[in-house]
Parts: sequence; structure tokens; C-alpha cells
Amino acid sequence: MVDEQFDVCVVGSGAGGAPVACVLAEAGLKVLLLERGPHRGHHDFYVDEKRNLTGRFWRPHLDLHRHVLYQPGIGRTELTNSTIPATCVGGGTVPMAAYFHRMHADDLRMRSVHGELAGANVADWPFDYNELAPFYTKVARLIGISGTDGRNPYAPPGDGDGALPPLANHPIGARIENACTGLGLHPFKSSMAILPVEHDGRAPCFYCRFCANYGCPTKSKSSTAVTFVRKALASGNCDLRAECFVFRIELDRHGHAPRVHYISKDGARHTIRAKLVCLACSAIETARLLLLSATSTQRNGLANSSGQLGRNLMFSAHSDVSAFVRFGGPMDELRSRNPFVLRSIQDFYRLPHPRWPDGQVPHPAGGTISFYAPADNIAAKAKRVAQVLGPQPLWGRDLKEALRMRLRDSYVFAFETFGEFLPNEQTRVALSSNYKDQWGFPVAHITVRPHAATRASSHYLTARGIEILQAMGIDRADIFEQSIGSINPVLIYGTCRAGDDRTTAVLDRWCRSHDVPNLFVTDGSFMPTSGGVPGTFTIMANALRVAEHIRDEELSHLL
Amino acid sequence: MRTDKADHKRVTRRRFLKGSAMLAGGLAAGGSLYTAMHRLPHGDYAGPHFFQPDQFDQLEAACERVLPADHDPGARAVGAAHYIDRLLVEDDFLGDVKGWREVFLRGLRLLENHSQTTHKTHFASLDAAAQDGVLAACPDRRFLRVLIEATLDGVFYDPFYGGNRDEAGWRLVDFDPRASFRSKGLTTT
Repeated sequence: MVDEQFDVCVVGSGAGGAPVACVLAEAGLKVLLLERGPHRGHHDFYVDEKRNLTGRFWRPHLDLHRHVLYQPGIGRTELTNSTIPATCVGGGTVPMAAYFHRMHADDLRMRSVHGELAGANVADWPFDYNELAPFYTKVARLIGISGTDGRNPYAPPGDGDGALPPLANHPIGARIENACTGLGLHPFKSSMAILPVEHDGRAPCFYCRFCANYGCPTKSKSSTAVTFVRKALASGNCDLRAECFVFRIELDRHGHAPRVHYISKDGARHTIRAKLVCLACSAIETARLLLLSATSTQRNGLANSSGQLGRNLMFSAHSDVSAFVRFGGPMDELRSRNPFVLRSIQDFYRLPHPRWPDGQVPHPAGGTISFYAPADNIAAKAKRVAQVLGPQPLWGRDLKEALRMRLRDSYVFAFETFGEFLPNEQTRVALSSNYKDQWGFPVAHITVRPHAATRASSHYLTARGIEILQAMGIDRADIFEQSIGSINPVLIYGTCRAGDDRTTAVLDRWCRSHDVPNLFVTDGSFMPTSGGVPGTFTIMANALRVAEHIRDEELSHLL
Repeated sequence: MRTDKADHKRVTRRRFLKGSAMLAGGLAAGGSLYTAMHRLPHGDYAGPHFFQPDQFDQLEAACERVLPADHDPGARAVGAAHYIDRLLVEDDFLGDVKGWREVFLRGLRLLENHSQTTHKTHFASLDAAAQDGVLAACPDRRFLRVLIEATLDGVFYDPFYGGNRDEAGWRLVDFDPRASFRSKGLTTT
């Protein structure tokens, strides 16, 4: 039987894969886009907290696929699917919260600027911010993102270029700004991949309050499903196959990767040939796929002559803090139904801040604090009130009183921090020796060992966020710390870091394997460092950068 | 692995789903932004399916202690135990994979044993204060945590899942998830 033949095979339709499929299909190439999850339409996206926040709507059932997550710092090994951003066409960009911040110029040269740090594996990126910047602007124009107000003094050059106007202002914004400026800080309106006005035939957001963790029923959230994938399909050159799991990339004797093996929903195995293969399955699953593709001559996994495949896994370091603010007080601005508080600060992007000269921060890498009004996930809020994760959960009359006071008679206001997670070789993805997925392939075994500096910076950011809440007039007793110094398990980077030196990096500056000339990786895997913002915007911009490079420079000798 | 405890009435997932075929049909119909269409009228849920009747009585009593009735309804009136029963019989992450089935069966057995030892009667027959005492003395702290978590889920998740009867849980805290949809004139049924 003759294998089906494509010019390009892209694996994964999220932030990293969809831009590549779109650019190359629009350039006239025959593209196969394989996605492990189903293709959901906007009719599938309705408000049901349990369906969207737990269970198997966004992720495979734990019996079918999961990760082994080992966190030695907290002495826990668990089987989880929380580290799978979302399995559907559009990937994690469908349920994303959609903060779209650019990285700072120095984020791409942390090693040069701040030097080495013992126990960390900090590296410069093989290209600089100026090379990436035009692609942030292009992504913004293509998919539609809401604008900022230009008031972030730390913003990188070109921040806001290509963006639409800001989303509707929230009345609490002024109170946040007053509290921050009173502390000498610089609040600004966050950009979000959500439409404030109609764009490219898609309706503007109607502010329904069910955004993060939900799919958008009006296509107003700029997921790749309604932007790049839609455009790729419209070109007529892209064959999208959903519910197809790729389990092996095969190498020929010339060292090229000509064949992709996958399993379709019915369990049938398929093999296709492609002249160029691009992986974008999320940093964890891409590393797993390359490890699964090991051969007798490449025992440690495909494209792994550096030995770095799977290492330097990073997340966004993350803390999440909620305040329950009683009705009738000065914060009645929170009565607004607008879900987007839209204020962030980057005064703590580099630590310590002169006003808080804390000697306990071993590295300057900090991050972003973003304020938000949590979605109306009533059961999640109730469990937070009951502190079910704490040592002494509430129950009985105390719980009922607390629920009435916190949920009926209070607003919820929150902030989260997105901090730099310093890369290290111990935080990594390997193949599990004990657990297999539904098809019998070993699942990813993830070890997370945050560097002490990452934890310290997360605590530093959280403490400052709490001070801002207090400066807004919120009582300390009304502030609940949901998680501090944790990881955001769906903002995943590293595992195939890009660099010029093939002995220390898996990919070159164009995110092409140093070992396999027709193999590219365009999800967050390529990132040598994580930056202090959610990486989704950066992953999309880099994927577009790589895709245009392939289109303009590589086709003649690859195809 | 599912429990093989003798006191565990086995209900296969298939058998349960057969009973809710009408429900599945409703789900497939799809369409509105906020679907109330898949709401399961409480009367259609003939349980318990997972627990034995006496275990279910214990569970209802324990849930009621987690969220007792006062001038507002408590967990029993809201149907939290029905939510938990249905959760555990379905092929759900929490029940199946994370071991909540065992947690509930073991925890309820502990409550009942403790009640028999100290009060010579069933946990479900004790008065509220005595039930509180037994629950507070329960050595299985994981059970208590899971009980609280599952009771709150049963009170606040969509009535579709068997609890939150007639949206009584939402009314407890004046919660209306469809408000933003209605205010924009969008369909909510």
C-alpha cells in the first residue's frame, strides 16, 4: 500500500501548530493537520461549571491518558491530566484566560544580563526581541487582541502594535490604579485575545462572565480554532484530522523524518509521508512523542544527540489569591457584570523592587501580577470558602454562615501572578516505566523541582499583590490564598530548547531539530527561558516567525 | 480497580446509562447558549444506585451536618446525597480514578461503627448534636474533606448532575448563572 503523501504534516492545532498550518496552506502547500482532540463547535460551549472545570470535556479521561506528576518538593506523585492544556482543535487556546502580554527584550537574554545561577540552567535565546517583535504585531492583526492603554513603563518596544481598542473598562479599575499608584506602582490595562469590537467576521465579546476554562459561544475569544485553523481550512489546502493521536515519527536512513504514524478514533493505525514535519503537541507531549520515537540507533529519543530532550521543562510560576469583599462597602464597583478587571503591573518583573528591598530573592527574575474578577464558578468559590484544601476545612453552621457571607453578600476579587520559572535539568519529562495510555504507549513522567529562587520570587510577588489588595481597602481576613509558589500546569515551556550550540540545544534558531533537517517544533518547547508573562502570545508569534521562514527560505531545498 | 466490598451494590455504568438514555438524547440535541435543556428533573433520578439504602441514609445525614438546614434549606433538601450517589455510579474521575468510592464506603462505615459503639444506635438515627460529635471525632480526615467537597458540589453544580434540586443551592446564595445571557437578550433555555 502506498502511504498518503503531504508536503507538510503539523501535529497539534493549538498556539504552536495552527499558525504553521495556516501560513503553509495559504502558501499553496498540501498540509495535513493532525489533532488528538475532537473538533468542537461553538454550540458545544455552554455554561456548566462541572463540565468545563472538571471531568473529561477538555481533557481525556484519566483511564485513557494522563501524566505522572512528581513534585519532590511537596512529596507528591499523582496521576493527573491537569498538565494537558486541552485536547480539542485549537488546543489550550480554546479555554484559555487569554492574557496576551509580550515578553520583555531582556527575557530573551537572561544569561547575558543576569549571569549564571547555581542549580539553574539559564540560557539566552538564539534570537533577540527585535526579531520576534514584528510577529507579535502580525498575530495581533490576524487574530484580534484587545489593546492596552500604553501606560506600562516596562512595556517592550512595540507593545500594543496591531491591537484593537481595549475591552470595556471595569469600574473597579480606578480603585486598583489609585491603590497601585499610591504605592508607587504602575498599573496598566492588560491585552487579551478577546474581541472588543467585531473583527474578521467574528462578533465582539458580550461579557458573559464565563471565559477562562470555557469555550466562547460567540467566537469572540481568539482561539486558533476560529482564527488560524479556520483560515487554513479556507485555503483549501489543509486537511484537518481530529481525534488522531500521533505515536511515532519515523526516520529514514538519510536522517530525515519522512513518516508520521497515528491512530484514528476507531483505533486504526495510519502512516503518512510528509516532506516537512512540525510538532506542536505542548512541551510535555512533544517531548514524549520524540522519546517514543526512539530507535535502535537513536536510543534516547529522536533529535536528542544533545541529551537535552525533555529537560529544562518550565511552567509559568503561579500564585492565585482571592478576596471576598462585603456588599455595601467602598468596593461596590465590583457589582459590575464586566468580567474583565484588565489591570496588571510589571513593577516586580525584576526583583527586588527598591521599595521592598527583600534580601531573600536570590535571582532578579520576577513576573506579572494580574487582577481579575473570577468567573461565576459557584462550586469552586464555595470550596474555596470551605478551604477544602486546607488543614481545617469548615463544615456545619460555620460553613453555612461563611457561604452566605462570602458568596451571597460579597464580591470576589482576585489576582494571580505569572512568574519566571527558572529552567533546570531536574525539571523534566521522561517516559513512565509504570503507566501506559489507552493505546499502550508509556505516558509522560513529569518531575517538577522549582529552583529555590523561583519559589522565592513567587512568594515575593504574592506578598506585594496582597499589599495592593489591602491598599484598596480589603481586610486581610477576607483574603484567601488559594495557591502560592505553585505552577500553572497549562502554561508549559522548555523540553526542546532552541540554541545555536547543538551540544546543548535540541533545536536551532528556526526551531528546526539540529539532528533531523526536516523536523520542526513550534510549541512552547523551544523556549530556553519562560519569561514572566503567560507564554501563549509568544508561542504564536514564534510559530508565525518560523512558518514564514519556512515559506520564504526553506521550501526550495526541503520540498 | 473498583471495590469488591460485599456491601457494595454493583451497578454497572451501562445499566445506569440505559436508564438515562433520554438524558443522553437531550444532550445531543444541542443549541442554546446556556442550556437548561439537559436539566434532569429530580423525579427522574430514582436512586440510590451506588449505595445501599441504609448507607444512603447515613450519607444524607452526614451531608446535612456539613450544610445543615436553618431558615435556608440544608444539604438534604437540596439533594446533595443524590448528586454524590450519581457521581460514584458514573464513570467519573473523582469516583472511579481518584478513589472516592472507597473513601465514602470506608468513611460511612467508620461513622456507623463509631455511632454503634458510643450511642448503640445508627448514625442516621442520632440527633444533630450527636451526629456532629461522631463526625468531628471521625479519624479519617480525608473522608471529612471529601464529604465537604462533594456536598458543596452537590449543592452548587448544575441540577443536571442530580443535586441542587430546583436550583435551591443557587438560591441559597442568590446565584443566577444565566443573568448575563438574559441581560443581552440571548436565549437561556
